[in-house]
Amino acid sequence: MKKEQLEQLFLTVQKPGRYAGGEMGCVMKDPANVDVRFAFCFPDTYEIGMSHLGMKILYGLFNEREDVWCERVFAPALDFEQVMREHNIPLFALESRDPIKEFDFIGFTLQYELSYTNVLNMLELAGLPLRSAEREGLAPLVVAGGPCACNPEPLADFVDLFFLGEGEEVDLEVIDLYKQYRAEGGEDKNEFLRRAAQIEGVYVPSLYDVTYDTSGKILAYTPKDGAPEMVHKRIMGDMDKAYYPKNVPVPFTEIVHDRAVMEIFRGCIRGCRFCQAGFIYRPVREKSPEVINAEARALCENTGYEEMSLSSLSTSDYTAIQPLLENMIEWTDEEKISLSLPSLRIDNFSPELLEKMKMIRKSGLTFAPEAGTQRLRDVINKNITEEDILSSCKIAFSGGYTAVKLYFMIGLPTETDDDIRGIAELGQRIVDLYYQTKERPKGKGVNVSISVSTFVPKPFTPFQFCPQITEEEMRRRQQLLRDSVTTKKISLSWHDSATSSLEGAMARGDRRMGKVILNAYLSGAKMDSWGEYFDYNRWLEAFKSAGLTPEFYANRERDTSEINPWDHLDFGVSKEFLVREYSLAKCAATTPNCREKCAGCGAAKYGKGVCFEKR
Amino acid sequence: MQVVELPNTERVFALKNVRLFYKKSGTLRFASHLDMNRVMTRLLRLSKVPIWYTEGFNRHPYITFALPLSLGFTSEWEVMDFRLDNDDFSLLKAQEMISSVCPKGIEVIALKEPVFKSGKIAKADFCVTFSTDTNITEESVQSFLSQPEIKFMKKTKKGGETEIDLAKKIFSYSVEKSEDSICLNLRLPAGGQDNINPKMLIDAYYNATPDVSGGYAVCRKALLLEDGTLFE
Repeated sequence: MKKEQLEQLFLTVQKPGRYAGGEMGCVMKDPANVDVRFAFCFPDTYEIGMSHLGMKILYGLFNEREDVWCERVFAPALDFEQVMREHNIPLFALESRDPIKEFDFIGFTLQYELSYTNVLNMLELAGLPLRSAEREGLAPLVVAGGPCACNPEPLADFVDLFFLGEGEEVDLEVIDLYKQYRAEGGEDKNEFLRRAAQIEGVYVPSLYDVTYDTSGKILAYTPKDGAPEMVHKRIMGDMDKAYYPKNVPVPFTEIVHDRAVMEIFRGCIRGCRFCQAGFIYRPVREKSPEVINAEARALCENTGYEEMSLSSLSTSDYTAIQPLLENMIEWTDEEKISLSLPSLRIDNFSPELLEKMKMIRKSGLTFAPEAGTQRLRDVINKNITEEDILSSCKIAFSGGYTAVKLYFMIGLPTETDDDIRGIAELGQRIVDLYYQTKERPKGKGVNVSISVSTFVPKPFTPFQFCPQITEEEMRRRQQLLRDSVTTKKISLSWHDSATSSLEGAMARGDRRMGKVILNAYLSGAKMDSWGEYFDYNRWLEAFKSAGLTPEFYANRERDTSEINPWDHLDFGVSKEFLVREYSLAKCAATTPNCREKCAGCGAAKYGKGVCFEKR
Repeated sequence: MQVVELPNTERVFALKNVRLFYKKSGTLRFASHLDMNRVMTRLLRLSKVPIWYTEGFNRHPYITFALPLSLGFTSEWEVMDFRLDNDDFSLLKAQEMISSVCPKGIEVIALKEPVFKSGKIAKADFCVTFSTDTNITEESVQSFLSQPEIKFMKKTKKGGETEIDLAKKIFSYSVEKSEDSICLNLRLPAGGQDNINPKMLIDAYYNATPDVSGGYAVCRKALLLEDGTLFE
């Protein structure tokens, strides 16, 4: 299709800036001068995908190489998808507008389970067979990485190769192998995959046979053709030496997080037992303040962004946060760049930090106590006390804040009705505290907004053995909480229970889930994370016709000796550690954070980061 | 402090206010009016021209556009005002600095002191190009536009519809046929008082001539005052 015709079609849909490309900072190359073309796919819309830091890092890193051209691809919104299908426009990359079917690699980043049907839809829009076994040629290779790749099994039928852990090194090693294999005249996909499986961090699902017992539980994973028995994730050892982009594509259309993002460390010292990110990114590795300061400045300089946020799993745990902010404020103030600090923890939220934040920008204050009672917070190892929460709120109220937002989960292991009521009671105590605070803003009311999501047990967490509560029970507990809130000063918001149930089944699904995802996709499921398109009945049908149930994956207690679909993958934390943590959880015993005391999770084997900090 | 009385003319000599004239083309035509605000803010920041920021808590550059451009249109005469923080800063130098950071799709024409208030804009020239693969003919466009009356249902801001006669709104038009395209040049009312989007005319044309189809591109060639003077 000619450029004019395509652009004419852009004008028939909502927000065509999402498909046009040509943003400042996007990388253009001559296809004739590159050896490898990589389509980096985010299986959701442009606004979501362009807000994602990982894509920006890998995009910049790949494009630093002269022989590689990495381009961006997003899922089209439904209106443009319809136009594409009507006019036989195959899925194309934003930069060149070439069909991605012609590329060497099609790489998906898997950020959440509910995007899996979009992966299938994008493959279909590209004009490719969905199942890996049906794509016979060497290229395009369909690869995937990201946090959900820690249990890649539900997508094992569709993806040729998974990257485990951080991609900066392993992705390029696979690209190099591909170049070399091509240069040797190689054309056999299976042979290539066999060789790729020898690279640390590469998981090729087709090289593993799975057997099940009569109850449907896994009997064994058997590697073949020399594939490793255990596949180890990759990490960047020295964050100061890791690549960080000096420029990124800056969208002209509106996206979710439209600002420069500066990563300050990976991993988290806390070990909250529900949090997958807190385990799979271990060990904590910080960038030094000097490097952050220089990289942040370069990024702002080159993009023209007027806002920057610091990114990590827990910003206030950064050891040099105070000096870092002091250094950064010096130039951000001068350049009129507003700095935002998400992911602050309650227990080290100091008046000094608040003062800094006020200098930066008066945004909303958000805390995440996660559970309503101390007992339950101990179970999940969220090591903060009610006193921490209240004293932080007091500091905030004295500092002029009139609204706080609190995040909670329901359905946590061992949760009782008292714990649910505890959420409302904690909210009430915060409201009361506001009116007891003498320095509160005069003549203004308080608003405590409580946002409640449903706990979903995830692989590589101590709760990977736990049953998730049923959808019916979710709704009962939501109602109980609603009934427990008696003041209008507390506003409640919810996460949909049906999507949480599906997420629960997918997160711990095995290879047979592939059939369910395919069935659901073929009956019309896509954009499942967008409430308006989600149809749970379609999914229940898909389970039924695959001969499976969501309950088998989500709602049963798993014996610690059971073989999980991800047990042949190593993300640094040992199963023994997870079992140990799970039994501590059951008796509400906490585990100190990594800086206080090593819990022996196993991540010290990498020889890097917090495990070797001076204590 | 010396009080300077503004001369009683249409000319405005506001201190610090400067006016950027530029062309907009390429993929940037998919940037909406709101998007352009973001794009130009970042462009000015990148250029390092000493721009004036608002004094509020949320400091941002002061930018206004003379007249919004519809999404999808290209333009050869876009006009944007902003303020310099330093009166003595050379406009020529500033223009060079902005030009040097322009992305593909923005081309600076000039940076000058404003001559007219943007409220004086009354007309705009457009060129509508019908692409080569259409069955649109010079004659059919010509005969459509030469009708005494062209009725069109215009959407009102309140969500309703009102019927207008587009034939009365056209100041002038001409149809040109080149080797590979048909160009329709239009002069239409523009600005705060009365504003006619050329898309209305094209829609009316397609509705009235059901056997033609095909794409077209719109370029805004100029913004004009009531008397036809170029808006500067």
